[in-house]
Amino acid sequence: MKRIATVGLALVAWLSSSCGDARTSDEQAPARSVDSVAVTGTENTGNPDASSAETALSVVSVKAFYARYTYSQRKGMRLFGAYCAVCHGEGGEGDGFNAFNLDVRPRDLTDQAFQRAVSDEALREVIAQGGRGTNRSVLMPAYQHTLSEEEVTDLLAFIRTLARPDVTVGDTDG
Amino acid sequence: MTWGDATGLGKLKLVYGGVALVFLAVLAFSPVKDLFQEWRDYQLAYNDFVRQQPVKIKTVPVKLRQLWVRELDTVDRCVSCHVGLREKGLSDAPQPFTAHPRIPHEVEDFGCTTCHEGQGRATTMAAAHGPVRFWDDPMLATSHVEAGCGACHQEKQPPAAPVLSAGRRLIEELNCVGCHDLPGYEKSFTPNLNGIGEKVNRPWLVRWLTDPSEIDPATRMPDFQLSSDETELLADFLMSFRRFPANAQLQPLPEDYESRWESEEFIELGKTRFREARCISCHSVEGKGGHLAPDLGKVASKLSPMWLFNFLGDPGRFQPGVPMPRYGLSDTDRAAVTAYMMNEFIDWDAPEEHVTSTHQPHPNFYEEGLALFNQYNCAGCHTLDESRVSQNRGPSLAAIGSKQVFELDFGTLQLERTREAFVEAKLSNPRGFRETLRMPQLHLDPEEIQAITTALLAQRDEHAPPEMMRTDPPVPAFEPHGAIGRVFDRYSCLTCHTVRGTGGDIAPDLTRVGSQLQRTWVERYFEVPFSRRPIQAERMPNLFMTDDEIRTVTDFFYSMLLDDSLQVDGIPIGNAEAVEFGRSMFWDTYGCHSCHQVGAKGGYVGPPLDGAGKRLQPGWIVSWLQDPQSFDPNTLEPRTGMSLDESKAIAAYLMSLRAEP
Repeated sequence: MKRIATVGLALVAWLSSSCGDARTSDEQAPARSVDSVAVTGTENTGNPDASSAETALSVVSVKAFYARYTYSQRKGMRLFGAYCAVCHGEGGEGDGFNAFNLDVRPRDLTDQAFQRAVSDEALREVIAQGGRGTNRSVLMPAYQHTLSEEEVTDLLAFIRTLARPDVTVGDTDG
Repeated sequence: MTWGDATGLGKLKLVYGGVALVFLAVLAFSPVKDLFQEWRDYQLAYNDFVRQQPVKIKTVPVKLRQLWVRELDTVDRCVSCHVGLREKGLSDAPQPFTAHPRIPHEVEDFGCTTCHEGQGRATTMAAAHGPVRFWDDPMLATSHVEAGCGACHQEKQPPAAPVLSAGRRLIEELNCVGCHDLPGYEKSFTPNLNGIGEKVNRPWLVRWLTDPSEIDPATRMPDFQLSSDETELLADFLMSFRRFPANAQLQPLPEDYESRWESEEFIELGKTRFREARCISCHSVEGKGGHLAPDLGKVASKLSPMWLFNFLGDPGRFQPGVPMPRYGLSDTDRAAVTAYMMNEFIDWDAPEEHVTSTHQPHPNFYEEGLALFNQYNCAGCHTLDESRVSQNRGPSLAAIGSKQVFELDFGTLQLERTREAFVEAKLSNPRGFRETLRMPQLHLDPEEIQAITTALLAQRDEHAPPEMMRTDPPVPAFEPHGAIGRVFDRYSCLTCHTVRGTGGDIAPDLTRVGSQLQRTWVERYFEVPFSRRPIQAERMPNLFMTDDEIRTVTDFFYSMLLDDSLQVDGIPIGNAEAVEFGRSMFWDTYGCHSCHQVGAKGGYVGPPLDGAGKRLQPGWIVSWLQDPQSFDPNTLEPRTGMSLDESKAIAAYLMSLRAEP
């Protein structure tokens, strides 16, 4: 009789454990507040145990870059480097090597006041239609026939990151 | 206890009844356990989140979701938590609700793990992302995600994957295929070591073998971390090779050199020729100049003047396959350039005493040096005529991106057990795993390590269906024969220029040059070439071609390299009104002068257009203005969308610019 009871209890214990393991502990379950799920899922903690300092450094700097810029901004950065940097400068300060040959100095895109004042739509228009289409200097070419709308969006996303970091730019949804 | 006992049976019934009840309760719980899944909390949080958004985004019914791509045999439940993948308004939302950035593919057609890896069927964050036990394909870090592109995109430079492209370029540049099997990658040029004993001096070779990057930081030769004994033995071994490939013989230095090599005016002549030939288009001097060929800043402390004099006369004879053109310099000019280089490019860091000390080689240097040469697989990159040289290659990397973690030898390193971590650690410190390893130190920076890791992780042995694989279209080989073939060969034109898809991308594509430029201008250009594009580091060198060769080349340009589609009718050349209209288009409407200079006014991103009327063909100007990217996808010149008439007017204006600056 005792034997049967033991078997029965074991069966119950086994069944309940197999159902219960879907949820092992409370810490693993995500809380329902948005703030606490705002953790990037792709983030890999890297390899803190890497023997050489070199590896650790490489992991940190590359990871930091990817943490700082979104996909769209990274694409925009490459476009900016290719098309814009000759005049606006690598860092967007309006000091590209060609800037000094132009009668009208290219815009300093790191200027906080400018970044705050200009809306995404206005910036998009300047990139697409150039200076001529927006009543500014014709020295700024129009890119609507060269870049796709998506590329202009990427460019815009990157240009917004150029604003000097000590200021928060209001209008960044784009 | 006996089974016949009535009270015993009654107890047994009771136990059965009890167990049945417990069983029922457990069964009833089983559908309820779904309510406690992680993804359910995420979906509820998602619904809360989108309700707070200023833009209206649809909430979702809470249920397990998956993407099933039949062709690729993937079942990905990632969308159970990443619910907002397709919502444009959520591009800046926090994970896991972020919208997928726009890429050239649709998520529905490819699933998630096809590109990102990870465990698609898993429904918890930890198991899906990894690394977890028994799942060797954890999700790729964002920095390496382009490895996923590379699994199907076997092109050398997939345009939408810059990191992967950079990695593939680096793997070829660094000649990884010298030691590792990597199908699809080509070997790049490495020096032939036959005759090295006549080319370099021993103290230099010892220093070079100790750490090449000490002498030339930009060199592709890695540091094999040899002990000083090993370095000495290998240097003695190599210095014993004094015969050049195909038995090429060194001509003695001319008397000019012997008598005048230290005279100022002779050195000055060499300096002039060195500049005219634009050696620093490809070579650098103390870091300044081109990056296609080795630094020359310290070569006087390396080379024998006799070798240099001979090499300048016919590089390919002493170094088969070298991309350097064979300049048409006279013997005196070559001697003067040699004198200039031997006097100016001295390595002041080289220790003095080495040069004077006499060296006594180890009695068994040849055998031991050969053993070292084979041990470190020097023959993987370099050619040496010695029958006992053997290839002693490293492991194949053909499928490194599919290797199971247990197959990787992590040695004594405490690393995360993933392929990514393994490859990165290997590249940054090749012998960190164990001291007995042979792989040399490549001195890579973090971005290079990231790029190469990405390209290597794309090397898989399981492939997508063949119709999804992308490879570069085959290029019809352009191999000119006869007189023009000899000119192309002698001056290595295709190192920089491309003709019909074959050649380098440093200088303009010559495929349709006969329809772009005017013949008289081209003929004059070859006499004294100059760069049209001031921002380019690589300038067209003065090759000192003979008149006959110039005629051969121009004949070829204007009989073979033509494109009739560049003929445009009705360009109002010489029509004063049209020219005036074109001028206003150029200066006031399209602001062409932001990049092109005319009359010393304007930018210098593109070539100056002074004298364009003597240089360009009008049909080419119109065709180019209509769609620059169709001729050169990478050109900076934006497509303006101007009308055909406007292009014709601008062409008429440019054709009126006949004054040279």
